[in-house]
Amino acid sequence: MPRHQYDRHALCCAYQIQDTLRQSHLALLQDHARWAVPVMQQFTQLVRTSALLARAVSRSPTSRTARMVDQRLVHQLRSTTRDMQTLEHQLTTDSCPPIPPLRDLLGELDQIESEFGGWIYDHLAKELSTTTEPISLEGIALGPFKIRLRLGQTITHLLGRLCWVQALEPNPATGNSEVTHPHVSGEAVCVGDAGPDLIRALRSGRVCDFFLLIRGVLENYNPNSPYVRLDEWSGEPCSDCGQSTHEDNRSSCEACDRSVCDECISSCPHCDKTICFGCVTQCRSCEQTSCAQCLAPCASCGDQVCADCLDNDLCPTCLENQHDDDDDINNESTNDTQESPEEENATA
Amino acid sequence: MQVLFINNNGGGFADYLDVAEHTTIGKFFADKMPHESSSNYLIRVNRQPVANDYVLQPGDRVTFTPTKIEGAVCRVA
Repeated sequence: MPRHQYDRHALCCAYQIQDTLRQSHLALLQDHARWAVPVMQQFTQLVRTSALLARAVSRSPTSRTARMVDQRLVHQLRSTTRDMQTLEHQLTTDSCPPIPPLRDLLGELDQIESEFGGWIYDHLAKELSTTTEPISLEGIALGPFKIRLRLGQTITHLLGRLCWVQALEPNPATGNSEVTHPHVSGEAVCVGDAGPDLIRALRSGRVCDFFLLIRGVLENYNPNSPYVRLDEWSGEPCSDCGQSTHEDNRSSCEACDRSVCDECISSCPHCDKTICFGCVTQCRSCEQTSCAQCLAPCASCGDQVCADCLDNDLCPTCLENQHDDDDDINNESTNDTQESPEEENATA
Repeated sequence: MQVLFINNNGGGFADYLDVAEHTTIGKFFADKMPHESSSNYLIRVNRQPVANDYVLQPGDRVTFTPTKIEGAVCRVA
């Protein structure tokens, strides 16, 4: 867009950036004042302890009380020194850079124009946005992304409240439609170690650097910490756990025909069929895993048992019970046979 | 002479630095980022891309912005 056409628009945006910076600086200074309070309280405590030591020394310089108060003073001094160093580090890293003049902010917008080819400022939403070129990572086309920066609210370390990344031609991961980029989920980009650089750029009014850094995240892939790995991007979701999985790491369950990942697959030890965890069942007798087809019901109790445990259509427990019953019957028969001569004698 | 140096890979470091006359941007990069490759950075002087042999001028605004940044999964504490 030629400069003369967007001058007023650019000024409006630059004013909004300046206003946002003022709000943020005020909030940051208030934070600094709040963080300093505990250290100031420690100073008060130091003054009290040193006065106590002076009184103790004036009463008896060699007393045990004086020595104890002296040790307390040393301890408090160490603690205060440590906390002061921590505070100094906090105030330095979270410092307030000067608010840039409008001329510089207009320069930022000009630079966005030259780096990205344009920008849009939504006056009502107080949102400044720009669009990347189409991005491809490891051969996977992810399309262009619109980077949206919300102005008009305090700049904090919570980048998710300030910045959104919207896929304009989304090619989301098969297993999760919210993930449009390995490092973007639900339009929130996770910037890894770039967080402090991004916050510092925003607090300094360097909005172009902010967009360039976000583009730097989008144009790169960190295989160690993605929402979805690129080698699993276009894979089919596992029917069991839902994880998107590449074809090479997927198997089909021979019992239910569902496609599952290697983590969710097992095999039947009896027939060697590939079965998913959902189809795995257990022999009620030996408790070995098996597919349902390799189990049969016990003719007596109905429990599903494997072929190894089934004998004469009975599970081991029922078979044992049957043997016991048979033994009892045999014993009774033997007794009957043994009783017969006596009965004969009695009759005689 | 002094230039404004903004390093977007060092926590957003920005400061005025003294540099020798006739220092090229290539040498300045090598001095400030000795372990980095210039191909992994957007190097801008006064918001414009410049050649490696560009000679820095007093008051120049120099920015180094990394182009290879590793994202990560956000973990809410």
